[in-house]
Amino acid sequence: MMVTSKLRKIITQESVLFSFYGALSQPFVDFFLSTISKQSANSDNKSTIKALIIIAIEQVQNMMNYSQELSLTSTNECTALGMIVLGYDKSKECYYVNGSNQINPNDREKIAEKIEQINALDAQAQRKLLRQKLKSGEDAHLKGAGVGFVEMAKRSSSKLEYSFEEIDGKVYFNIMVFV
Amino acid sequence: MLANLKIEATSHTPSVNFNVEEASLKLSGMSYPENTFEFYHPIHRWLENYFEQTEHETTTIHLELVYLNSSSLKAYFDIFNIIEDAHANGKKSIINWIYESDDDIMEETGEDFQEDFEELTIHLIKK
Repeated sequence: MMVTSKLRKIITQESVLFSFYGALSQPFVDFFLSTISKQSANSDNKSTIKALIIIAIEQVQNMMNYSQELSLTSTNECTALGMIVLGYDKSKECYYVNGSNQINPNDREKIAEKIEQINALDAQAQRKLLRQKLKSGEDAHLKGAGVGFVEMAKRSSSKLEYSFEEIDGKVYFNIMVFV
Repeated sequence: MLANLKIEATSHTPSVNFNVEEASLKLSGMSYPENTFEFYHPIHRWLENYFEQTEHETTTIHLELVYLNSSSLKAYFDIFNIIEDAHANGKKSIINWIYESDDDIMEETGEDFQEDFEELTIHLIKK
């Protein structure tokens, strides 16, 4: 069976609107944003589309910073690899952004703790946590403010869903955000 | 004297047009750079210098942003901090937060800044 045939089955089943696996970079983010914006230019739900794009950018830039799966570019620079899927969940009747990347196994607990902390809060408390972290800069590092998960949760209609899986001794982190 | 600061917009960074003589500062466009610190650090330094040196009583600041990633959000939080410090030292600012009329997210972001920086005059302006 052709790989494209297998993928098409999944694309149809999961109502996938956009999917990508490979080297992530700023030009990819630009491409993604302009493609989705053009596709949804006539949509009557601009806020939902914008929230989806914001969440996807957060996921991709997170992967660019943290993915442990790397490839070398022609100029001998390291590029992070990751997977990003946008689609529509028919049973939940809402859109989803689903990202996945290989992580450092030592970060597993830290990531889980961070997400659990955010999921335990209601929308107002999440907003407060975001403002507090922006104010204090407590989670800030050279590449970002360390508030990506809170920002995703703020834009989402439900809790952040996540899982870890081990394949051939490597640990992968999956995150699913609904809008 | 401090030189004006002018930076062209890119697909992922806003245009910067800071004019010392006119006491007018504008940031306009997208903001989701990979390395936010690298882009905004010189802007923060410039603003600190500006408010130290300016003799204008009031500075007008236009912020017309479309997309902000979370690290840019932090960069703007820091910009508002600088404006607030200057305000406390008698260098007033009027801030115009401009957004598309159907952009609920940028409206909410502007409201959040209003709430966090109560001392400042922040006008929310729909295009």
